[in-house]
Amino acid sequence: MEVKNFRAIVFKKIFYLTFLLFLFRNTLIFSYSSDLLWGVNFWGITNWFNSGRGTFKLDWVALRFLLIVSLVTSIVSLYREIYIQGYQLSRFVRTKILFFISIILLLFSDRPFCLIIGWDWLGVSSIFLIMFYPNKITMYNSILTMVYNRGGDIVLILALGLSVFFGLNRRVFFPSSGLIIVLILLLLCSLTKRAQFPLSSWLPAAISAPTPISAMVHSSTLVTAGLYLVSKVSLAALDRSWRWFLAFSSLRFVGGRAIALFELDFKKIVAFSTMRQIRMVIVFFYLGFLALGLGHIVVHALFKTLLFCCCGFYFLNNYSDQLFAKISTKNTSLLNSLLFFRIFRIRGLIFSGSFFTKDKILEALYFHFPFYGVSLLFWGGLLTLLYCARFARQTIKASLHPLEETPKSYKYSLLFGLATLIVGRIFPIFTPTLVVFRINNLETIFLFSFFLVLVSMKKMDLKIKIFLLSVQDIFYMKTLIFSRFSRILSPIKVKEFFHSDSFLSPSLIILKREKTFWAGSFLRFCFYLLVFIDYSFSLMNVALKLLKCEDKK
Amino acid sequence: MFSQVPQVPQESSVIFLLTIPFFIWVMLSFLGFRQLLVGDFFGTFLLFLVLSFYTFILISSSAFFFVLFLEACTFLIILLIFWLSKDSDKVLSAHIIISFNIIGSIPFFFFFFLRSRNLFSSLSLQDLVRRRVIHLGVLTLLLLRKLPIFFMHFWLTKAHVSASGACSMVLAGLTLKLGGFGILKYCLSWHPLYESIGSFLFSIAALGTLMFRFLIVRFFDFKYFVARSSVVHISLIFPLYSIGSSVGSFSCVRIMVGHGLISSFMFLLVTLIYESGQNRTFDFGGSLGRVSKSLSFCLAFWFFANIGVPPLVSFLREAFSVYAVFCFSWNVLFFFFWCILLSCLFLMFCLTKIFFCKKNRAYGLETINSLTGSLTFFLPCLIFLPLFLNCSFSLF
Repeated sequence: MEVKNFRAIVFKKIFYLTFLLFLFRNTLIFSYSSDLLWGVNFWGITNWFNSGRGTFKLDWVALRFLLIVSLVTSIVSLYREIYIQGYQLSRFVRTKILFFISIILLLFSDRPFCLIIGWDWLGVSSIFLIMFYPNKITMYNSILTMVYNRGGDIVLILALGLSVFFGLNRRVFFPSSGLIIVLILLLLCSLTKRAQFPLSSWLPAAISAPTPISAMVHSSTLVTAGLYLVSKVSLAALDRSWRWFLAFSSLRFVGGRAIALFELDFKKIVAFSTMRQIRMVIVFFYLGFLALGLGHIVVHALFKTLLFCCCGFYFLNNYSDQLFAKISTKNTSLLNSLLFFRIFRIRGLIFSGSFFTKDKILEALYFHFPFYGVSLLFWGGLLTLLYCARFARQTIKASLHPLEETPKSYKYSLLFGLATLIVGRIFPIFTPTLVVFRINNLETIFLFSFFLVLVSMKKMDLKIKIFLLSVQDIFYMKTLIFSRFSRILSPIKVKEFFHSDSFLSPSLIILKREKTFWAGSFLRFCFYLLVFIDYSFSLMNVALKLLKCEDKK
Repeated sequence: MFSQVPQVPQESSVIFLLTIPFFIWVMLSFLGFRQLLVGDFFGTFLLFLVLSFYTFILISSSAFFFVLFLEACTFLIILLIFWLSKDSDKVLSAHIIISFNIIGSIPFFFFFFLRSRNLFSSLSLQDLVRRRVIHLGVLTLLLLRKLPIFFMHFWLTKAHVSASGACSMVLAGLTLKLGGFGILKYCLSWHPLYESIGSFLFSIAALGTLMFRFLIVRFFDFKYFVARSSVVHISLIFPLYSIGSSVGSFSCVRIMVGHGLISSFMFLLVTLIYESGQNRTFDFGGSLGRVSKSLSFCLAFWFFANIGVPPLVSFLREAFSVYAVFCFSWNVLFFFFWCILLSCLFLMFCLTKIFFCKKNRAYGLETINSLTGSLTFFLPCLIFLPLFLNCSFSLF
């Protein structure tokens, strides 16, 4: 590829990426329930959708899922241009689009018929993606995946039939009697898609799909479909009577990690990690923290995409060898730092996104299962520590068989890893635990964070630039928490929030009551604009740096 | 004798069933009247005759015409086999078809035309059936020959194997539906006769399905496979109708339409493969995915349609048959679960035959690339049509 043409493509992609990041990340940050719907209803769409006549329905849960799915899909479809070039390209793209459409059908379905269409085609398109490289392993894996998914479909059909049998409503999943049996069947059905313990063996098998597809499957589409069904049916009502089930299936906290410690395949290790995270989200749902669980899904989706992108680059650099021990890390210093940030995030250290969610779940589990839950979390956390140590050791280790020359597209493809990092580097979810502290002179911190961008435009090492970006993001988070919420929330309310999930409830109403609504929206618009400029600057910086490296060679 | 009260009990189902000949006609006129499928003018004329007989039976209200054209259709099928088939033992298969059908026809004609001639002249067929159990039993026997349940299906597989492409399309798409339509129109779903044998029928259907799934792995004739799968689907119609609920008869129509649309298209694909490759074995040697991508896509799509993937009619078939079985017995559901799961396993077996093998046996399949390439975009649209024609969508 010529340098000039290459550069033009890179700039186009960067513009596209920044726009996407600007769009999605800020909507994710400010996604309160009514806020999202208000934004959509600006064109009167929501009223039309939710009038009860159509088969589709828009609500804030579905919208948040949609944002994650479309973000991950767009990142993956950009990443695909590097990873898969030429080999059965049109088939891959068509199947991926089918995959995307079916998850959207599933998310927006109001009628069970629409839901079943999405549910079933997710399985069908996923097996076509698994059998993308035709060999014996993918054959067995696709058969395994298809049988599990089809079993889930049959159980869903049975549940639908039962609810018809017990008495037809408009919302068929809630019949007038026999609710418990229908709910048990739906639970069984969701087990197959979200790969929980008894029916989980297809998820490690599904990694034989191409790496971009694995990123989609594990982060946003196939696994979260099961979660979405659970959130839709709201099984949280059953948590008192289903304690034994919760206890049984949360063995995966320990089990998944223990298997992942002794696994040799790189992607399978990541797959076992997914199982554990999904398990954690399910515990959130059982305990009644719906919004917090959704927040954890966002965090999980972003760092899982990053991890799979990293995987793909390692494989590109390593003769497509997936063995964990054989991965060479000679020419991949930037990639190693990305992986380090990912470990930072999965550990749930302070100021990372998963810190807030994990803190909350620790609290809730201690409240509900004083001995069992905490001991389980302790052992799970210990195993996670070992697992992360394994990853960290891999980043430092000397390479066995390094590649003599890195692929040319390597530097360019790193951009997508960076993009996921920047979007999800530290994801602020507003916990009231931090609102207790109050800090003055917020505006200075806010301005200082923009000053950091200017600093990062100078010639500097890439690692330092990434570090600065993450620091800047911490400032964003602080400003958001302290400037807006410290005014709105009184200390009495903070006390209530410890026992409820309502801290993500609308801030819009409060603003309206104070008659500062329009001023607030103007300020928010300005903030969006600043963030957009910041993102474009930072990404351009990194890209320029990469291209200069390219030119020198 | 011919003057009867016009009775068309399910007008909507008639309209629904009339989509099948339209579909087959479009398919044949699109690529069928070339030399691939139909040899000459006489073959085309016979096909047109079967189509028109089918349409006439569905529209007419007379029971006499129904029985007459039912037998005439079997005769036409035998003629078609003789005229168009290239099989060496077509005479033997014609013998088998005739003898199996006569076992059903002779008792019917004996009881209805010889023993109770006076009754038949004065009463309608439905009144006659309502009065005497033996009449109902004999009518059921006649119709079950045309619409095979297990252990009465031997003539059907034989006919399919020795018939030509267009003939087996018509046989699967239209002639089997006539038996089902007769059951829906003239038999009494609430009758105690059916109540006593209902569980027996269901167990035969479930066990036969399981047996077929395990046996089919040994057979490599593609056409034999499609015929067997059609037997599996069709054999559910009578047990579902004998439950006596409206959901049962509702699902019967879905089974018939779904089977008529899907299996006729699968027979078309089989014929295309056979005529261009001179080989009907199921072992494509993996070359199919490389030689003709459109054909392999078509095959995969219609395999999925056959097991009942949602937006298609075949999904309605699966779903409504499950609802109907709920009314009957929950024990049968266990068998049904395993049947559907095994069908999915078998589908994966088929897909591995298409996509996964390494040896490259490219046998003349390049010639049909141009044909199936246009098929892929044209025909899947048609299967969505009956879904919106009927108001079953409103149930969900």
